[in-house]
Amino acid sequence: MISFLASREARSALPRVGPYMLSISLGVAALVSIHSFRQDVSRSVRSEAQVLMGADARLTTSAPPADGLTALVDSLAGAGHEIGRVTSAVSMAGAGIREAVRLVQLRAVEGGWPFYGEVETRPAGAWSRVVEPGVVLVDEALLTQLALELGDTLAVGSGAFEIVGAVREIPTEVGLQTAVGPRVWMGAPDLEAADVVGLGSLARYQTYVVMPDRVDRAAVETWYADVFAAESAEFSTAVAEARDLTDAVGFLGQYLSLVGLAALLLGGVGVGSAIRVFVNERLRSVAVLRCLGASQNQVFGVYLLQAAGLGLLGSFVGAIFGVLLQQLLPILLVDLLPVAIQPRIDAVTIMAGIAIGVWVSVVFALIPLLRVREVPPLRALRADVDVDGRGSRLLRAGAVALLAGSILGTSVLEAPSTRDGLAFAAALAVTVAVLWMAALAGIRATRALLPERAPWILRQGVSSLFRPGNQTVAVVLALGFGIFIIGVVGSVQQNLASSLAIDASTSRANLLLFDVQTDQIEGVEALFPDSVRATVETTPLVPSRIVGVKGVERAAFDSIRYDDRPASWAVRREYRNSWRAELGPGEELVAGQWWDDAPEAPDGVVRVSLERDVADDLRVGIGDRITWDAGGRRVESEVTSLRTVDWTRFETNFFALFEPGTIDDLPTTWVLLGRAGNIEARSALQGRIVRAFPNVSMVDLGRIQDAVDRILSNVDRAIGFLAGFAAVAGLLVLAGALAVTRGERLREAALLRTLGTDGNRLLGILGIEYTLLAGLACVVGLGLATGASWLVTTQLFAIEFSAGLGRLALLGAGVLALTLGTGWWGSRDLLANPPLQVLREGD
Amino acid sequence: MIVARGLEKIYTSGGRPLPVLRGIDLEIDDREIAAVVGPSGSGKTTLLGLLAGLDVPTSGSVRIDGTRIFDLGEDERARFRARNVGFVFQSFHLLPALTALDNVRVPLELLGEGGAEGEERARALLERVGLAQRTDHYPSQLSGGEQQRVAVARAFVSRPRLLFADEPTGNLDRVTGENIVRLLEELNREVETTLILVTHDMQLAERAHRTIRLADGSLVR
Repeated sequence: MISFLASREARSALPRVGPYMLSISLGVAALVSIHSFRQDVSRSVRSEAQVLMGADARLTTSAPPADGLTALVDSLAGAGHEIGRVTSAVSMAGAGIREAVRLVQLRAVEGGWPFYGEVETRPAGAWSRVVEPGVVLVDEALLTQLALELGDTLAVGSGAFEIVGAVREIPTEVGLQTAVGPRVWMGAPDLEAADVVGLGSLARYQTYVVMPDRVDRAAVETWYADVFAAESAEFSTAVAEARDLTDAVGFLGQYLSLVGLAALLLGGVGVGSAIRVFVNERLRSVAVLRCLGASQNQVFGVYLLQAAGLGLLGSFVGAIFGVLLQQLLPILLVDLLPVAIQPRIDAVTIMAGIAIGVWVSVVFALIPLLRVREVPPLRALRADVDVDGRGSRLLRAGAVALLAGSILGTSVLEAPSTRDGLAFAAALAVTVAVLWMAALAGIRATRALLPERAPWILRQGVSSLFRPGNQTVAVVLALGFGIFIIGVVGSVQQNLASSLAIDASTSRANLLLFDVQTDQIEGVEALFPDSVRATVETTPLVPSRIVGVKGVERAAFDSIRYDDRPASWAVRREYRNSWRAELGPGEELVAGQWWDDAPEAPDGVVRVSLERDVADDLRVGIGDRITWDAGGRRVESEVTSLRTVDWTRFETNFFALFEPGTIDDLPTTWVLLGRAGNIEARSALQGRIVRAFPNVSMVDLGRIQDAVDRILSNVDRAIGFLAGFAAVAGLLVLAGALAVTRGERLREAALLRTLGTDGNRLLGILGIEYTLLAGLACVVGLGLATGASWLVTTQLFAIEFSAGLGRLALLGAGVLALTLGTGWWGSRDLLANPPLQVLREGD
Repeated sequence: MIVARGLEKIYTSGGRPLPVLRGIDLEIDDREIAAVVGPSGSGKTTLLGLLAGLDVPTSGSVRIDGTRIFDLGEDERARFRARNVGFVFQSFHLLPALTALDNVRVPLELLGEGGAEGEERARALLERVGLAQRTDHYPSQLSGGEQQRVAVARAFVSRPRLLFADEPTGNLDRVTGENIVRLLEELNREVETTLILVTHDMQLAERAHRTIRLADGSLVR
């Protein structure tokens, strides 16, 4: 009987509730597409792991490998493992005597690297010539930038090389790595001939090993840990790197899937509203069924089955849509992805998406559906018999608990970690609670603040918010929640983007010079145009390593209890220290005293200020000693202050800052930050500098900004895309929520019309009611969104927050327009038809 | 005076024309109490709706004190009603979000007379119908009889020349219904209104000055 009736009734339910099920479709589409996409990415990256590295394992050092590593590598080679080497450095490269120069990334290749994957070149097969003396292969981009052609000569450092090929595609470097500058590949002996690797240069030495056997790699990693530590070598495997890459994309994916989940939950709210309307319209049918002898559970079953069926339909549509989106995402995110993605349709993901969609439809439908159980059979005879909407307390509590549990469960399931999932669910709960309270308070305040003598239309509009069975709180809640989600996503995205954007205003530096020697500073500065010369900032760099902390030599760190042991990254890294008389604009002293006020250090000990996080990781505080090695000389320092540093500012900043005059006799190179007009002016200046000082390297920050912008626009697109989902879902919820009270509103308007209210006044009353609803929702939703995005940007991302009032106002205006539009659309029958018809329908 | 000529109303049901009223001609004098009676489906409510200008006929005309109401637009008709017509419905149709007092004030507000004087008038009428103590109650807090008395007060507050009552006692018990009828008659005399009643209740119909019988959409003489 239940399925018979459900299927018969569903035919009439479909046009009424079906459109709202589209909000479920949207959520399911978002989830299916994001999950499938994540699987596509991790599968593609895993299968390409070796190709991405060009080998199975890699050792990276910032100095040429010393005895220990060399012996290890030799023994690996002796055991039959293929070995390749890539030495990386940056240098300026130019077209011989011509003006144009560019900072390039040199890659000196030895052995058969890359061992996996193909390097695509023009002409084809040119990669095999890379080890030939006197020749280079370059990124296609470099040819364009320097107006060179194959066969031309490229000047690098003190050498000149024939360009024998252009690299179109090399699978081993991804994303921002190539943003610093185009790459130039050459044989290892040529790099020495060019003589560009010197003090302070950003050289990196990588040894690649072919060892496909997982056991071998693990063994090397554990057995030779001491050797790696001694030479600050970093050992990584292709598999681990691929995992890191997929983790990064996975994290983005999980963030996106939370937005997707939010869209789905919003859809659930929409379904809840739609079911509420539907139930209201079906009260008489239910009463008739009850008169005819259907039990409470039977009528409930009939409508629950319909909700599930419609949820299934909506989810199915969503899954199809999601699969289509899955094909689209790799195209949208092309610049972010390390490898080409082959989308594959995964049945399990689709089933899971549909299951979640149906489940969300059912749990959100449960609460309004409980009303069906409470319809008295008498209602069939008299329309004015009240339905006790509260139903059985126990059942209602159960339905609410099920809903809360489901939200919690799906949040935990979708979030990157259980903790994040709980936090997400908690944030949702807090948001709903605050929205609910704010909506309630706002509604009460509206009535309380309305002057007794306000115009009648206004009073009538306001009183509409309080009509019996009014859904004012529910509508404000649903609308406000939609606004909240869109507001938070938009605001966080905006703040992230503006924090990553390098200020393009004219006062900022756009040219970074490094490897400038002390005696070259004046000469380099002289080459800048007169107008900007005074603004060139010079900053000293003293390349240093840590050799001791708190009196313990580095070799003995292992003997320190683990909790007190300095973190290995902080010990191993090469520090580029500097000295400074004043704190920089992005720095803040958080402990100790700056030079003038700090206690004097004993003889032979210099004072140092550390960045707070690195101090934490080194397990040092005020008064502790750190021993440095700078170009072979030992420097004993005492920590006299701790600073926080805003690393996102485009300025030179340092982990360790020394007092001026204490380390300036150590081997030092200089970084210069300056400005030089537009891109042509910058190119010309770079040409002049590199001809006069071939060892100086330059980065055109404007070009980096372009690369960063490209990546950002990808992220922007992905997030904007999902915010769009949330927006459309919110719109459907709005329509559903307004439809809830449509019947009551129509009856009331018809009555007013019968009593003699003309169309304009009716429109006025409706307009006031909708404006109040949208206004309350906007105030509450936008207020909460601003608070939440402030929390996320300042606490989670630790970046500067700006509310973006313009955007908020735009969002508010949009919501108001949509609400009024939807309201007008829903009331047009009323304005078009004579009132008698409406009155009769109401009976 | 109400003059109806050749009133015809045809609804379309399932694609087929369904005549509800066929060529009604009638006149109702000022201050007259007329009862419209007839079996279910005979077209009573339709006739009342047309006489009050709540719906438009398929053909025919209605003149109220010389105004041809179907020559007016929907909004003009609404304003005409606000000035000249009062209603009492079988199921009361009070605005649920308004108090009894505010419900009675609605017609005055529509005429722009909702100020302090209007409030006084509304209060006085509520007192007149015996609800002086219940002015601040919402409809849901009132019994059916009380709600109908509020509706009666609302109908008379703007001193309309015409009052239409559609089964005013239909949802009330005998005693309460009797009270409402007495109230209608008294107010009708005091305000000098023309009263048109639609009813099933033959006892009620007999109290009218005149009975208009409808059967199958036509007048029965």
